[in-house]
Amino acid sequence: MMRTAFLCGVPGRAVRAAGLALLLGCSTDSILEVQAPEVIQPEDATGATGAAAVRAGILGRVAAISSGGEGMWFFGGLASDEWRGGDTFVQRNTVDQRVVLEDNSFLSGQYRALNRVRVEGARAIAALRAANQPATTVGELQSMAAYSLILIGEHYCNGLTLSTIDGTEPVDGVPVPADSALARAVQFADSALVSSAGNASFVNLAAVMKGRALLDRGLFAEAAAAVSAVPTTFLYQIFHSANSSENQNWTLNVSSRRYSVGDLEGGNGLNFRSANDPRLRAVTQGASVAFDNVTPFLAQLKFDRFTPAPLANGIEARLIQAEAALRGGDVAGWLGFLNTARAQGGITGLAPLADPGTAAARIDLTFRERAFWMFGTGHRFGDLRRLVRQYGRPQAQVFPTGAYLKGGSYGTAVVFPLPIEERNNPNYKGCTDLLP
Amino acid sequence: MHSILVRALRATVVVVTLLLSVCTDAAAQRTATTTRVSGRITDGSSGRPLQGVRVTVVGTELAVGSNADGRYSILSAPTGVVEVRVQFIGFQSQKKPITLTAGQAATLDFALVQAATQLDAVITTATGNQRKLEVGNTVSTIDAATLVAVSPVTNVGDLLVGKAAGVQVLGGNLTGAGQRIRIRGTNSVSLNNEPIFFIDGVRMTADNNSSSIGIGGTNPSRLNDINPEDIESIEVVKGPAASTLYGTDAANGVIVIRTKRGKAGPARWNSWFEAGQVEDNNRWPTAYRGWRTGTTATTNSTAFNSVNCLLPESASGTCVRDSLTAFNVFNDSRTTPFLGGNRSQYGLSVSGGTDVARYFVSSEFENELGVLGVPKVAADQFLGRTGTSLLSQQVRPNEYQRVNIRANLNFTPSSKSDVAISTTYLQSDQRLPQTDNNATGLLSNATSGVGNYDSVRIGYRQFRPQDSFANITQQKVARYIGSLQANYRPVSWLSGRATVGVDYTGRNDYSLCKRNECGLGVTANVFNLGIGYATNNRSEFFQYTGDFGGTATFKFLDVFESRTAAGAQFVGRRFERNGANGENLPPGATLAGQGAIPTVNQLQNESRTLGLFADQTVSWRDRLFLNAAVRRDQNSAFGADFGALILPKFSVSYVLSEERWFPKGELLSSFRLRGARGEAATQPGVTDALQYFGTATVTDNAVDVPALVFSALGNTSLRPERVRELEYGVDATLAGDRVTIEATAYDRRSRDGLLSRTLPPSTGGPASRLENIAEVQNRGLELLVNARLIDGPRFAWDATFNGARNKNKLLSLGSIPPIIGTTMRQVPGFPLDGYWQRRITSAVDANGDGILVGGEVVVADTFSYVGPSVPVNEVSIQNVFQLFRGKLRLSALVDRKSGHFLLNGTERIRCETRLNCVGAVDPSASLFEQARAVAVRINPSRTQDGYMEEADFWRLREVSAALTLPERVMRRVRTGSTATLVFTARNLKLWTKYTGIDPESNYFGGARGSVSDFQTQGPPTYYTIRLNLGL
Repeated sequence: MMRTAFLCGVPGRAVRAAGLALLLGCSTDSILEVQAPEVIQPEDATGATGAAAVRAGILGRVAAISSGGEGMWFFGGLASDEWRGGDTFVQRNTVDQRVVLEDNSFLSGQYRALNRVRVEGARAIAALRAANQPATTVGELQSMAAYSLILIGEHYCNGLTLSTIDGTEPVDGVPVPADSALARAVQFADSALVSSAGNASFVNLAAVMKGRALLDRGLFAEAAAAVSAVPTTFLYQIFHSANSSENQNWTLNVSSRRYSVGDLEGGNGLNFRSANDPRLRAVTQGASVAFDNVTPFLAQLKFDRFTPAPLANGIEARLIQAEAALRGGDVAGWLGFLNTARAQGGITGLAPLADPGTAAARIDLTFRERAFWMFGTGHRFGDLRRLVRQYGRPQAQVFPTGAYLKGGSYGTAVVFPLPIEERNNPNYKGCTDLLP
Repeated sequence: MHSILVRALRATVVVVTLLLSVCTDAAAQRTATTTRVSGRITDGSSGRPLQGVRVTVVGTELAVGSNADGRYSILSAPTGVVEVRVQFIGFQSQKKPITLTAGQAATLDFALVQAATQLDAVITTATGNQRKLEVGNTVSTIDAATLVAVSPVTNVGDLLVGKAAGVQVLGGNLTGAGQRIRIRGTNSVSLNNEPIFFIDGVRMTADNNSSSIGIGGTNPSRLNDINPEDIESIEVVKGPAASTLYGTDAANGVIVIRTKRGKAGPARWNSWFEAGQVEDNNRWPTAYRGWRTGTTATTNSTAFNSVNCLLPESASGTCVRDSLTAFNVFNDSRTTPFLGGNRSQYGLSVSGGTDVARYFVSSEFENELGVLGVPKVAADQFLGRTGTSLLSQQVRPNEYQRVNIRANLNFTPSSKSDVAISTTYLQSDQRLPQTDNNATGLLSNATSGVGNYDSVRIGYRQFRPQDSFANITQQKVARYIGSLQANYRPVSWLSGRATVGVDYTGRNDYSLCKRNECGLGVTANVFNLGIGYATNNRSEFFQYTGDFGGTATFKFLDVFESRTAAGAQFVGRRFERNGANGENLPPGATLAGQGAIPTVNQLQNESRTLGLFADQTVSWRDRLFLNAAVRRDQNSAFGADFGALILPKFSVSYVLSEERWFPKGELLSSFRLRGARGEAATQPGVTDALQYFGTATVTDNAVDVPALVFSALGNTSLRPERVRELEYGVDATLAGDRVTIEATAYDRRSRDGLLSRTLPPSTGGPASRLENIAEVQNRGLELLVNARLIDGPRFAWDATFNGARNKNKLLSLGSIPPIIGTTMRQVPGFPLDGYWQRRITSAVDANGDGILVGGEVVVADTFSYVGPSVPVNEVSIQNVFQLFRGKLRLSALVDRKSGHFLLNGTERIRCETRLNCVGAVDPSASLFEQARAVAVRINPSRTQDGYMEEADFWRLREVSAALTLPERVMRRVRTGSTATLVFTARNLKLWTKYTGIDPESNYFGGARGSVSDFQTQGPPTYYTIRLNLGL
């Protein structure tokens, strides 16, 4: 009787075993199966249409590191004389002040975005090839990879890392000199030149990428040779729309007033506003102060909300040739290239330049022309660094210096450190140096 | 969903049927020899009948309630000597033996003795109702019905503040804003740390920050949809030691809400009318400005800029200060945005029925107007600029309205079965102000004012009240929660139960900036908002629960009792949203579809959990209770390589005072030792395990094309975060049952803690991935003391002390380095979300000029730990005085939180970039103020150390006075009618050394991470008057 009560009257163990099996072993997969329509499965990113969509995704990533996102186009401009910080976000103000700390929380997304183009670009190239898509589409993405590496090489410190992803696992990169990124950019550009054969625009794009990377590496003649065939009218742009992205030159400057056009910033800065140059058309707009209520607000009128932004163009090719010519002692050729750009660059009201007569002035003029032609396109910080690195100018005579408008003084940053999040890469121990 | 429930039901029915079928023989044998016991239960002191007393036959599943006449009747009771137990809130339980003869009726009456507290109250557990003393863990019970009637309670969060040890509630300070709840500390680095909620047996959506439109600060919580007036009681199941059987997601505790039910008897009408006032009594900082005449136009202070000559620059001669001005927009009647609010509440309920069918029906309307508004001078500016007046919803942008109706039905067709149906439907409509950390928001522009009044800026920085509040942000909610709970007791020792229910929420978020109304600020079309936009996002949250189980209870060897429960639970959740946005509105347009640039979005996700559980309790002589249980969970969000989650639980409860040898007496009348060890889990997000692409639109050569972007690495081995907890404690009743003590210690550790591991940016992929690598520990002590200090007919004094201490520590991050944020870090050996900063090591005015400059403030070279961001200690003390035989009830609740730090982000940004704080501008500022301003603005470290302040505080949280009108007065209205007039106040007084707006400012009040005082409104003060009428 007692035993019966204890077992609830169950004479055998079979029923209890069955119950336990049911308890622990039910097949419930179908009950728990749910749909996840918000996400796209990897298998959908294959085939011709899948690969095309992935390729388009890379173009979106490129927009994010150029005119469509607040990346080095803008932070480089802040740290140089191109943009002034008109904001109350300390992350922007400190960069504007040339106090660039690795724990600046804006830096993480910027470096990640640059590497996304490179790493995800490789995934997209594989998808395009697997789907037997035209080689020219591969060439375009190879140029994009080159471009991301160029921006990395132009802005970041020695000791940077370039990691990858293998399947679902990160593969941590090892520290390399910034020049290594530029060298890789040249390799990608060479590959792009081959892949792009048959598509003149993509060939020119690859050529400008190669020329820019070589220029950054100080290989002036090779750079000029790389871009020599690029017509001045060539233009490869990042496009914007209400559905994709806005041109941040407009968003950060005209709309939100967090950025203001630099004008003689920190003593050494160019007169982007007061020059009244038709290429930039910077004006004082509305009230005179930026978002911070302190910084004079100057708006650029070069880019509107959805104005496309040049990623590479024939003007840059001429400027590369001009600089190479000057470097080679060909003053006439130098001036010719500069004036070709002025004549064929699509901007009216630009008179031909005359030779200022001295080597230093010619260098100044070269970089001034680059600054005005390529304002707001991510060139200025790299150019200032080159003035120090390749032309031997003291950084204090190149970058903004002295008293900072919102208190304190300008710092001494001439390069961006990798963001503090990179220290999650066990191979990365910090910049090996902070040289220009 | 239907098929899912059917399958879950089918699986469970098999389990329950097994239990039922295998015991058929014994059941048949027993049923044939049972009979009836009935009786009457009264209050021993007054003789009045007691309704709703729970009557059980010990060792069986038989349980009934007494009716309005105090009578009960139990059919099919076993024959022989049985024990009948009666339990009722406010009275000592009693247990009496009786000998029952087959086929005959027996009578057993009870006269109960009042008691302040009791050990053997009945609580709700995952396996059904149980006596508290049988359970090896502590469960806090909140008598919501009483509190709501006499306390300043405006939402469910208010019911939890200071009422349960270990439960920290940080209220939302805007009208309609949600609260943040933590039970026994922070468990998870990267997942939700909020408890889960059940209402009348079904899982309830209680999402924090429940809005698709940001306002810059705290958003609504779905918890606030629940009308506190409908709640009978709340039980707080604090952690894994207790919440194991609630399964995946219960690691942060479970809050079980039971709504009011009808009682047998004639219809009883209750109505309540409440009106009140809402005020902002917080401290708001003054804006300072040092005017200068510069050498250029850009260095001249004008009415149209904030150019300043700050203290260090003035001292070093970099600038020359002309004058100092100061202006506080909050303290000036012309400019203050705090116009005062009000609230009103009207409700009616009726309940009654018979022993077979009972009902409770109620409805309520509630309205609260928040304190924020547009002052007249600002409204006039708008009129002057646009030619039209602001709409009333723009002038008063923060308001909450809710109307709800509830119908709860109970059926007891026989002594073998009962059914409870709970339904509620509600609609709410609220407006939320653009404020807090928000470029165009009110408080960011008010706290960063320009330090002087002029006719244009009226003291604000760039956006004035009319500029911020021209944006109309609304949320409308329609919600239905329904459940059916059925119990069936085929035989005295066996019961089955089934609960099915749904929680459906339809949410409509809407934001409107009409053309030429928003974003025009002091200057121009900042953020391009002047072209206008409208956003409309419609979301649906659908949560469904199926819970089925059976319990078998029997005695053996005369002194042992066994209680075996098994069951299954299915919880599903589905979310869908369709959103539309229209930008560049034509004049007069207000709809998203009217914009020249329309965009749409659609979201959808779903998760499902299926759990099976078994629970075995064996008791000895009704004093020693041993329990073992296990739950097996599967969830749709687990990684493909992970199977099921097995969660075990053990507990022991030993009522020593029942032993003969125990020195039981007047001093110590009951004493219990208890301990529990259990595991629960927190599940990852619905797509966290997947590798996937996201979608985007890309403009390729001037044409918009669809694109795929690699979005998530995925983690095929992703598994839920498991939290193991050991809890032990003692309960005692002292001083002639007038003092009850509950003391509990716990040690909770998570393993497989889910960490959103930051991937190196050079990886070129997603920023993070959830990995099971963290280990977190929470250890603490809790103490609850209830005491009836004076117990007289004319005067009674009850006091309640709740104290808790929690020490949180991150034990491990696996192989990855510490997670470093700007102000917080996750470092093994230190608390989660601890504040870290480079410390200010010295600040000395070396030249004695009263002004600190850069070189006079020294900052450490390395970061070090400042302190925890979550309170370590909490105390609440409530005193209730009852005078004139309880006709007048006076109550006061004070609470304290301490041991933590809070980042005074408002003052930090004012000193760092707004440049209007006292420490940066006013030469009479203390060296402390100057030092922290110099450190954050000038020192290369930019350290925020000076703004990480100790945030200990005491707050007079609640005060109330309830006057019950004498019966002789009410008899003139109607015999048996009652009326109580209640005066209440909430957040009356604060004592703290914290220098910011309020130590309970609640920015970032989400499900994870920490909070910040960052341009955020502090708690408002409420004054209400309420009339409760019963007919």
